Amino acid sequence: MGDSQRLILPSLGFGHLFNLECETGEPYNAGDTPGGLLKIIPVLCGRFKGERMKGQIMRGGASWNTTCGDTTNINSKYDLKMDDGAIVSLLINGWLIVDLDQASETLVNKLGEPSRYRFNAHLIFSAGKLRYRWLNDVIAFAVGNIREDGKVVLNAYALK
Amino acid sequence: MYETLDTFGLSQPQFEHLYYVEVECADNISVGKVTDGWLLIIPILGGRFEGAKIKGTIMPVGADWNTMFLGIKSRLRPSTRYVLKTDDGAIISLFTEARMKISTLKLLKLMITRKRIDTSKYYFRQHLYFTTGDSRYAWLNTAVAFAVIGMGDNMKVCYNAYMLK
Repeated sequence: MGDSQRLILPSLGFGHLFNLECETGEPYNAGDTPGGLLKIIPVLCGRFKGERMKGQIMRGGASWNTTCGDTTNINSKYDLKMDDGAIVSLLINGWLIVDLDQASETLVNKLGEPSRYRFNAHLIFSAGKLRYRWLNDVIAFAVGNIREDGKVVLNAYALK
Repeated sequence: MYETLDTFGLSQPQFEHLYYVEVECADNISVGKVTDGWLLIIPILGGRFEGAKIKGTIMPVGADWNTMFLGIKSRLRPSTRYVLKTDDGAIISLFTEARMKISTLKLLKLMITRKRIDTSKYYFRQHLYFTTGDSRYAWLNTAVAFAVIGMGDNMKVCYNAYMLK
């Protein structure tokens, strides 16, 4: 399969969707499940802003974080309320990135609660209001941090 | 109050190229109109993927479950499960979730009848989720990966896969 025979594909590009910050509550510890140590972290409030949308994160969402060995999967559902009242559901599915200098900290703390972590995630939107339906049809992602106080911050993008 | 919502010191996303792949598909199986669209199942026959860190063949197992919402601008939600086998013997299971938008129904019909369409006439991108037990490729289990897809001749699915650094 030489390079010359390959199909010419568009190059990878992405556009900014919004920046988001989210306050979280005390985690519920579900303990050692078959998939790993499960913690459920409730969403208290938050907000987001981008060129095409801005608004609040509603209380009621949560994140299901599963730690197995030195990997932690993040699976969250947020309810976004746009400034014009439209509700858009957001699914976040990603992984904490354990940098080498943090690895020992992870191993010491088996609950996976190191103070500050970077994560990468897939984003999947569900929107019903016409103005935001384009979000249903884009492949989106986020890069983020979980901060010491449990605050989640992320920047969201869509592939062009 | 929004003006304070900055980038939080997060750096710009950076991607690393994983591989280029060509996937051969068999004739589609039409399930018909289901609750949320028209469902086509497209069996996967095989293929070849090549990248700097990973290369190998696509095993003849798995398929694409493709839900189509047909209209003036057609939208498709292909979702696949299939298996990669690296040249050094690792087995990697792959699950994908794609979004496709194509400008006209006529173009979609041409594509389904195995004609090649200019890749600028549609948006076809996907999420990739890898699972493997092979320790040499364990890094793929936590990779957040995506693809830019195009349809080659004879419904051959071609894409470049990338992972977020």
